[in-house]
Amino acid sequence: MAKNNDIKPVKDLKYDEALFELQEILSSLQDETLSIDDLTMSIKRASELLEACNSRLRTTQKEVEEIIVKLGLGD
Amino acid sequence: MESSNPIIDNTSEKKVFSLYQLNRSIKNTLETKTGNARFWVRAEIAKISISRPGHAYLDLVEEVNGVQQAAIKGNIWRSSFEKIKKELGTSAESVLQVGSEIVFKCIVSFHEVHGLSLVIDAIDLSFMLGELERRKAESISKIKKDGIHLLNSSLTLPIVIQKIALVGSPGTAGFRDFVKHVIDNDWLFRYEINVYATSVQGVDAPNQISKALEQADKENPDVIVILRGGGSPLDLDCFNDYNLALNISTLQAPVLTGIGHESDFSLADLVAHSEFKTPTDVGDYIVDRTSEFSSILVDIATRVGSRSKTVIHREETTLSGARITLIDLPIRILNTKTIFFNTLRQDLNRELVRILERKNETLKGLASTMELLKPSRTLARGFSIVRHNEKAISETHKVKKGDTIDIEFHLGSLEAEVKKINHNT
Repeated sequence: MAKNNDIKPVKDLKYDEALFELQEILSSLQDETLSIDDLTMSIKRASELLEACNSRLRTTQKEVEEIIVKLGLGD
Repeated sequence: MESSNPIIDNTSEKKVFSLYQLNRSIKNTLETKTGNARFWVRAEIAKISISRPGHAYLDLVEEVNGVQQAAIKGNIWRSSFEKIKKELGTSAESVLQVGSEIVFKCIVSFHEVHGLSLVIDAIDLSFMLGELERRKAESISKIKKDGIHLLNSSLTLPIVIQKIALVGSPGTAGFRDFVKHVIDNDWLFRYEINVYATSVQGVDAPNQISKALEQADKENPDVIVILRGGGSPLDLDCFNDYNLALNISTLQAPVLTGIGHESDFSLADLVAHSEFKTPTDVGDYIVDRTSEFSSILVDIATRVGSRSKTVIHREETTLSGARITLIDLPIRILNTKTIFFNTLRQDLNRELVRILERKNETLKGLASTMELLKPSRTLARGFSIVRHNEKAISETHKVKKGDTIDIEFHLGSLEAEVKKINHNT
């Protein structure tokens, strides 16, 4: 997990940045290198990142579908 | 008749004729000489007018390099005029117009009042056509030699043609066909069509068409379409005008022609970007081109759509994996830590118990030592405790002679009085 002073608000992150950070947190969880003190913070951050990625993905999907419909290519 | 011929006057006596006599004589001489024979003559129509009864009056000329070499009046009487018009059919208008060079059959006629004229009763269309072909062939070879036919065709036609400048005669069927095909297309594509109306036949047509083209070109259209819904070869001859061809070649916009010829092509077709048989063909081409592009777009969009779906699906999988890990791992970590903590607690408990036990042991040891040191055990061995004022004393200085002291034995006690003190022992 990035140091505190490096943490950007999730909304300012690009999808790829958010996903990268999420994966970093997950891998530190997997290594079990995370201290209990950081656990809550990390999980909170990870779930925010996950939510942001998910919402970005949903929005993109919706936009793509709209474009496809607009182009007359709807399924 | 010979003797009174005013023209061949070989008498010395002055003889005066009336004007009528003179003209009559001219007429007779002419008729005798020509025997009313009919000649084929080639001349250009400099002027033509039709009288109310239906006779045609022409000014016929022959020019060489713009200089008039010969001129004469020509008449076509109504019956002949009707016959000629019928024979010429749709070409009549093109043939019988100012500037047209015609080959006609005539007799030379002289009228006492109206003077000399040619009375025409037939026109040779094949000559005219031949002449047109010859002129056209000349122009073609000139155009090809100068490379003029490559200029407009080297322009790039937009992938999608949208702004169309239409040059032609709005009333004609070809014009309507074109507009209908383009506007009422099956795909509902929309086009901007600007009309530049011009006459498309007659001697002034090349000029008018050139002007319309120039005007159209100024508006920067995607394409200029020249239309003429068919006609006889003579009707279409204005499209074989060399200057018009030259003007077309210098336009900035690509030119498409639909001049409606069956087998032949015109100079306009030659210098245009692309030529089509009919106005309908031009319209179909424009719409087909758009439709082709549209299907490319559809194809691209389909691929983009499918690729987007793949990417989104891949990301979904990643995120759902991340979600599972995120739910799973903290619990696992907490479990591990809890187990570790529990182990610690157990260790701590065990340690505490052990420490307490050890302390207990020590206490027990102390207790037995204490037991050994108890005073009763000492008294039993024959020692006794001396007290004065209830305080045990261990030296003689604490008492003086006459004091009462208490002596405690293992069994029983007694009260005694100090009689003598020996401080030194």
